[in-house]
Amino acid sequence: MTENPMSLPTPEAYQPSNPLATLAMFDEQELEVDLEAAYGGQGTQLITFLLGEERYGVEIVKIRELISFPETITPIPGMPKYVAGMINLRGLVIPVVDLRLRFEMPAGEYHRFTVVIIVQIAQKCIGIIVDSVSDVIFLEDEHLQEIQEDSTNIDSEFLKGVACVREEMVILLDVERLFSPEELGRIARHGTTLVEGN
Amino acid sequence: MPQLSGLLEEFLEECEDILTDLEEALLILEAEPDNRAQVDRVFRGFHTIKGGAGIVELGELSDYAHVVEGLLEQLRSGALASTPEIITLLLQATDVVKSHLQHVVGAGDINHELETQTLQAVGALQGGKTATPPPQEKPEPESAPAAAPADTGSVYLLHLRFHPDYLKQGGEPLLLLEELEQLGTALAIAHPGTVPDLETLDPDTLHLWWSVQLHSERPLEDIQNVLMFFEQDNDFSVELVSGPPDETAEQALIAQGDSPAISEPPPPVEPPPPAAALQAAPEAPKLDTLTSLTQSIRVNVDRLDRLQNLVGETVINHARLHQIVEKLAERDEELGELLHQFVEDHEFSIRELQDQILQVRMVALEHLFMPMRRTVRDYAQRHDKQIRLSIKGADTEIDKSISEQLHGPLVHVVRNAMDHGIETPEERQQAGKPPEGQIQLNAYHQEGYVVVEIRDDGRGIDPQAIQASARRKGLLAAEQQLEDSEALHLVFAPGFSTRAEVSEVSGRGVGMDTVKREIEGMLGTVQLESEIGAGTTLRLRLPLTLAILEAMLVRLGPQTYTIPLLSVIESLQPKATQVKHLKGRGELVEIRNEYLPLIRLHQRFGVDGATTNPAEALVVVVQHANRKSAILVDEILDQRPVVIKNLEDNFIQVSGLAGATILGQGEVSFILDIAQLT
Repeated sequence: MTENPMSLPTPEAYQPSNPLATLAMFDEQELEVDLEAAYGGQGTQLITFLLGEERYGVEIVKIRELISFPETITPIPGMPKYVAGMINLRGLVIPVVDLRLRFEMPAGEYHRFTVVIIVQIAQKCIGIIVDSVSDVIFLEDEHLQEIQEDSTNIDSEFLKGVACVREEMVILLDVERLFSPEELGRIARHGTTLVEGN
Repeated sequence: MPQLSGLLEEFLEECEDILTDLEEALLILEAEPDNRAQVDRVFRGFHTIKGGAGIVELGELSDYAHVVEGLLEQLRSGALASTPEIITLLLQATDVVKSHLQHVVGAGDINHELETQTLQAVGALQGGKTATPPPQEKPEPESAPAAAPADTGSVYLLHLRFHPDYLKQGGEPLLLLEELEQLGTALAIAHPGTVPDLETLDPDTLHLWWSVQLHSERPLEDIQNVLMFFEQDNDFSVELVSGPPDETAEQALIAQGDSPAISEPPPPVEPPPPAAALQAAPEAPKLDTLTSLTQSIRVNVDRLDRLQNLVGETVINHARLHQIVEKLAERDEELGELLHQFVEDHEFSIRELQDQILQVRMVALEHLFMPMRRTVRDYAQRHDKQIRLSIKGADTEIDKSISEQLHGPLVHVVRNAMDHGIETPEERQQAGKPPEGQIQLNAYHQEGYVVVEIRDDGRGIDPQAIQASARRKGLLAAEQQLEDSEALHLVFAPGFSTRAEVSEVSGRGVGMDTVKREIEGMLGTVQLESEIGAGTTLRLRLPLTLAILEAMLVRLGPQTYTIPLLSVIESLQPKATQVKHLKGRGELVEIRNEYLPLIRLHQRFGVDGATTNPAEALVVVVQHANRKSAILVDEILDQRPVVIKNLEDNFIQVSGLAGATILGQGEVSFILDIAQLT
């Protein structure tokens, strides 16, 4: 992808000493980002993140926002360990899932750079704790390959495929499967057995 | 539901109200066959439905309503007297209309069977006159007007002035004229009124007005009824000019419209009618407007929900603001003082706002209770029982969404009372009771909650029979013998029923357990009392609103949990001697000679760091459905209203939790589901 997909004013025109004028240049131009022309094909934009050694991607349209690791996570009684708990997202009470624990990887350390990706599946917002978030990339459909069994750490049931982007392997995560009604139902039943009565 | 045009939606909403009104009127009419006001009420209802259906192009419905209207006219004129059969027929007609409406929204099919059946019945009653409705609302080529007055009947003069924006609002004066045509022979003259010259003419503004000479055999009322439908914002008048001799004597004579009569479409400019035409005659009686000059406004419940959410969030934000101000006050006293005052004032406004929004959502339980009359009546007729339904406290208000969710359980409980509770008249007489059974619906406010009682004076519930049935179903061990009050509780067990065959009335598989679950889903409680031979009382306690909960905040280790105050009886620190261990029954706390099961929440929820010794902690005594329990907590933190957040919105229903709320610091606290935990 060598052409400039966006027509931006040339760097020489910027006036570092007059930031307002620089900004005004952008206002006057109509910035067009023609993805198809830029990337020359059909595909999807992904946000990539790290989980252990591997790089995963989630379609950007499914992502509502990214937040830093929340101050408090309230644990939910009776839930499997990978359900970290509930958080308050500006008034919305949403669950947060630890992706490492979900895929039976060793638990990670949570610190300032740990990111929680808030995905939106159907009408629900759910948070996923990942190690860190990397770039936004464009994945052309034709580059997506099938997963070989056992080629990745996690269950291929929740993966859409792999691709090689900029010489790195990116594994496409199927968040819709991950939080499908069936999956959520399983989590619910897990809770029932633990909590009701001694 | 398919997207409906605004007009159609309005029609459906209006019909809903009309149908409720119709049922009410018919039931009153049944009890008072001479009550003419009710006949008028029913007539107006079907008339409006007919007109409205025509406008939204529901031809079949409109035609049907027209036929029923014909029958009602005969009732009005006295040609027919109101009998129970006619009432039943008319009630069936409302059912047919309902099925039409359901079909429109895609929730069912038109009940053609009942439709045909009722049409035939109407035909038979009208003495063989076939019930073929005349065509509605279709523009027809007009034949040359017959100027000869009717042999019998009256002549009316109408003046129809429409609001200038009538056309812009989608009105069509032709419709009114065509309606009038149905009543007899009409000659209409269009007057130029305010028509300006061509350059300033706005074709969308209605400049014309009409005078109509109508020869009709119908009484004045009928014409007024037609006008009533189009009345809003418009100015109509109708006068009896000459009629059957005995009436004319009382009316002043008016010069009849003498300009050459021309029928639709409106003609070119005509000389204005003689001023005498507007002579004072006894005023046509004031026409009731169909839609009352609205002091009320229909609001979509979704909007109210959203408003409520917003208010809820404002409340939460306010709590956080409060906390921040406290922190600030520690650093800067003066600033803290200033802010503190502001925060208090702010809180006042917020609470007021919250209250008002909650009020907006309140509806009277009347809407829920009144339809029960019909249910009871139909059942009693069908099963040869005599049952009287009395309603008290119908004006008690409750949140609209609770009211909607209450409908199912209420119907079920009433049907149970009729089916299992009230005996046949013979049985009752043998038992020394009056043959007519009583079912009482009672609603009242109590300590900030709404209580709905359903009481019957039927045969009551036999605790022994319940236990026997439970043993048969394997719900109870053969040798287990329960106390009476506990035995009653078995009625709420899933899969329970005392009738071998499934009753068509109480439904399949919808037992009292469903009722209990639905009520608990609203964070309400259910209580059952019964005496053999005397009757049964079911008491539902419901919060006033689903959005805000009066709660007690408790600490368990590092976690804060929220307990609905509705369930809390008391709290205390037990002495070590009060805590007993009984084989087979676990840990119990003895309080004033009552033994309550101790619930170790920290164990159930897996909370580390909680106090495990009850004597060093607190127990909160909670009650649900006749059962009390003691929940072990570390500390009671606060008692206040909290905003309920639904867990299923973004997650799933979690066992043991009724929802979540956001506390002052911004963290999430879970609301305990007392019903599930105890």
